[in-house]
Amino acid sequence: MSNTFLIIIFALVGGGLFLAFLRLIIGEKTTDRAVALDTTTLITTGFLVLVAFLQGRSMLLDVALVYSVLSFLGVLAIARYLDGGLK
Amino acid sequence: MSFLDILAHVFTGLGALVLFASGLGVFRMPDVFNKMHAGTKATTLGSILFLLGIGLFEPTWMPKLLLVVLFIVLTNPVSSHALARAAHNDASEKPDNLIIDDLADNKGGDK
Amino acid sequence: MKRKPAVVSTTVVLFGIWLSLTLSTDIQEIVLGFVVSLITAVATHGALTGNLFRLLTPAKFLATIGYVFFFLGQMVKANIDVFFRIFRPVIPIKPGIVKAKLTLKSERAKAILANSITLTPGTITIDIIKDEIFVHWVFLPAGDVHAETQIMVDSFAGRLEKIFE
Repeated sequence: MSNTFLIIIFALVGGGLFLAFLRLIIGEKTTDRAVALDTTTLITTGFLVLVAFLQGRSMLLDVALVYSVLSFLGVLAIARYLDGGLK
Repeated sequence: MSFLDILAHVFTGLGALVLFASGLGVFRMPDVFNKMHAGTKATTLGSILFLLGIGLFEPTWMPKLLLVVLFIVLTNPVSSHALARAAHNDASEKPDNLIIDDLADNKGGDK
Repeated sequence: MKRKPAVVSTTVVLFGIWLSLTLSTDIQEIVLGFVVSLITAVATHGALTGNLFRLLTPAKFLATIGYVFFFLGQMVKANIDVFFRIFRPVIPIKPGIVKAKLTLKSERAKAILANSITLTPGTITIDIIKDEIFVHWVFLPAGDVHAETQIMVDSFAGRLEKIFE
C-alpha cells in the first residue's frame, strides 16, 4: 500500500465516521441518533480491520468481530426500548 | 504490481468511498427513513468491499473476514427493520413528509 | 433417527465457523472443534440451521446461486442510486409507505425477502403484518405505486419460491 493511497483511504473512512458521529451528537430525534449509531459502529468495524492490517496484529480482527456483534445487539435493544419494550 | 494487488486496491478504495457516502448520507438526509436508506445499503456494501479488499492484501485473514462480512450482511437489515418499526409506532418520532402511508391506514382500520 | 440430517448440517456449519475463527492447522484444535460442534449440534439441532440438505437438489442449488447473483447486482445498483442521490445540492426525495401482497408461506423465506428488499434500490421494509408487506420508497415510482410495488416484491418472491417452494 503506497502512502498516497493510505492517506486517501484514511481521509474517506475518517470523514464518513466524523459525519455520522456529528449526526449522532446533533440528533434532532432519538431514532435519528439510533441510525447514526448503527452507521458509526459499522464504519468503526472497517476502521479496526484497517488498523489491524497496518499494524499486522490479527488479534484486532477478533475485536472487530465482537464489536459488530455487540453493536447489533445494542441497536436492537434501543429499537425495542423505543417500541415500548418486549410485547 | 500483480493483478491481485490492483484488485485489492480497487476494492479497498471503492469500499472507503461507499463508507464515506454512507456517513454523508446519514448526515444530510432529512428524516429517519431516508437516513436509513443511506445508513443500511451503503454501509453494507461499503463494509463488504472494504473488508474483502483488506482480505486480498492479507489472504490468510480471508476466512475470518468473510465471517465478519456474512454477519454484517445478515444482521444489518434486521436492526434497520427494528428501528423503522419503532420510528413508525411512535407518533413524535414519525416524519410528517410521507406522501402516502398505507401502514398508518392499516393500523387505523384495526381499531 | 429422523432428525439426523439436521444434526449433520448443523455440525458442518458450526465446524466451518470454528475453522475460520481459529485459522489454525493444529490437529488438537481441529479435533476439539469437531467435538464441540457435534455436541452443540446434538443439543440445538433445528434451531440454528435446520436441514440444509433439503436445498441440495440440483434445481434448488442452481436457483440459490442465481438468487445470490441477482441480489448482488441489485445491491450494487442500490448503492449507485444512493451515491448519486446524496451528492446533489438538493436531495431528490418523494417518500411514501406502500403495501403489497405476499404469497410466500415459509417464515424463513419471508425474512430473506424482507432483508433483500431492504438492501435493494430505493426501498426498505418497514413491517410485515400477516400476508402484507409494507415498503418505504425514497422516491415513489411514477404511475400506479401499488402496482409498481407489487411487481418489485414479486420479482424477489418468484425467485425465492423456487428455492423454498
